[in-house]
Amino acid sequence: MRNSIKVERAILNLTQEDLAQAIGVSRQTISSIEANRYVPSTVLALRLSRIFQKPVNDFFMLEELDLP
Amino acid sequence: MSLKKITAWDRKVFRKLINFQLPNYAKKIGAIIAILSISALFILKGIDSDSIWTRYIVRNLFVMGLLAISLSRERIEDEMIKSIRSQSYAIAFIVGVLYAIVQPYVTFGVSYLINRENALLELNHWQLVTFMLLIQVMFFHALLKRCRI
Repeated sequence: MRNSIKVERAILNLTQEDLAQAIGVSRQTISSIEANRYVPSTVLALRLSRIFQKPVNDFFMLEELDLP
Repeated sequence: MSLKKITAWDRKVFRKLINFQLPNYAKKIGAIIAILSISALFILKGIDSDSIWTRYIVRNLFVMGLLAISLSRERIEDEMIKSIRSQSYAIAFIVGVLYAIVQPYVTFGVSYLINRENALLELNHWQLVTFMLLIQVMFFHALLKRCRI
């Protein structure tokens, strides 16, 4: 799964620290999500969706490997 | 007490149990206890102490120190940290089982080479517990470091 959180964050002019504080995680978690090292839970994805005011599908995209 | 109430109570207790963690400062206390007790073990070995009780207590203190490190929270304990913690416990468990299978044969082999008559096929529970805790703490920090890069 890939994501465009870095882009969404840049649109809102937020640093990793700002976003981390807004959704209640550490900066390392944001960095790991952006680098595709960690796939967040549904709760965290929905919290991001609230911050970006966009549906989850807009910034989390399934890749060929993720399809059944 | 109805079955529903018993189930709810059971879930509540189980949730408390699986979420149990020590505060962040317990990590430092655990590290101090572990360092002091391992130093004491070396000193006891150096002075050739025969006191089984002292050795036993110091060994247990070392395990308690490692357990405190293992159970203490990070400054920000979020879902990624919890996931890393679970992974490290899973790795420690699997490596611990393999160690429990292999260790008695290694001990037997070594003691057979040194003294054939007293060679025993036995597992040291203290070594196993210490090994598992060390693996857990080590992997937890290694995986955490990988996420911080």
